[in-house]
Amino acid sequence: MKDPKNLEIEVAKLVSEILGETVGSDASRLTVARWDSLKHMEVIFAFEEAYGVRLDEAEMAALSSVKGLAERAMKQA
Amino acid sequence: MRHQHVIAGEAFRLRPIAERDAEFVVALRSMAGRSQYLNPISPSIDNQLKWLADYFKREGDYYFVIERIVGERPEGLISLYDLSTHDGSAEWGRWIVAPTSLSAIESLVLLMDFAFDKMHLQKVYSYTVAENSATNSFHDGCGFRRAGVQVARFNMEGRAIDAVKHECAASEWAALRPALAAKSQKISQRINRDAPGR
Repeated sequence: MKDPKNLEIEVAKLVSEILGETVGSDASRLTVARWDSLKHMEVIFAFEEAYGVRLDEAEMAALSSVKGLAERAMKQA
Repeated sequence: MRHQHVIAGEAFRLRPIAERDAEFVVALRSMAGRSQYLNPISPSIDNQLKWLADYFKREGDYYFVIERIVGERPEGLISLYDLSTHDGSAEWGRWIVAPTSLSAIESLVLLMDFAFDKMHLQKVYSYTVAENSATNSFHDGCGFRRAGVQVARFNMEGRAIDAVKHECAASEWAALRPALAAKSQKISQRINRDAPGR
């Protein structure tokens, strides 16, 4: 099982690549302006592909932070 | 104005707003996290009905409810207004979607299709509160062109607020549409696949 902290760093890197802006483990849609509705869907689909996760619609809307996504990836592992 | 246009997409459609939507409008516009950059409205349903009564008399104003096709659930609002036959332009706005809704991209594509394909406009524009970084980022990400900042465009509770103007001409939309429609389709396919009974 992956270390939760390492997973957060990994997810932050993935989100950074999509947003074109370096974000940390504490990043969320509330704190990063560029993480808008358009980019959010790109983040979600890239996350699903990277971690072999299939999110339901409620999760797609609700998972709006690096920590939340990392926790979801951990649940899948 | 009391129009009859329904613009259907894959997971969502835009339908004309009606009196029965007054409660939904008040609830959505008063929602925490959604009201920060909107003109405050009265929490009274009666006042919203009065606003709608005025709206129904106004020409060149197309106010839509963004509705999920399966289940006909309202999830947002969007408008095209201030239509000018002189230069074929209109403003779009009053755009707000529920925090749990994935209708943002499809509703935008549907409204642009309405503006350019049905209304045959030459140009649309929007004004967004300058401090609303997320929405301005969304418009930038869509490829809409920044056309300046209008100082003190809005007045919210006595405070003058600047606005960023974005524009999109019909020719620009033709170039931007494929990428946005592809994103919208990907989301809609997922929504429809996961819909109960499918």
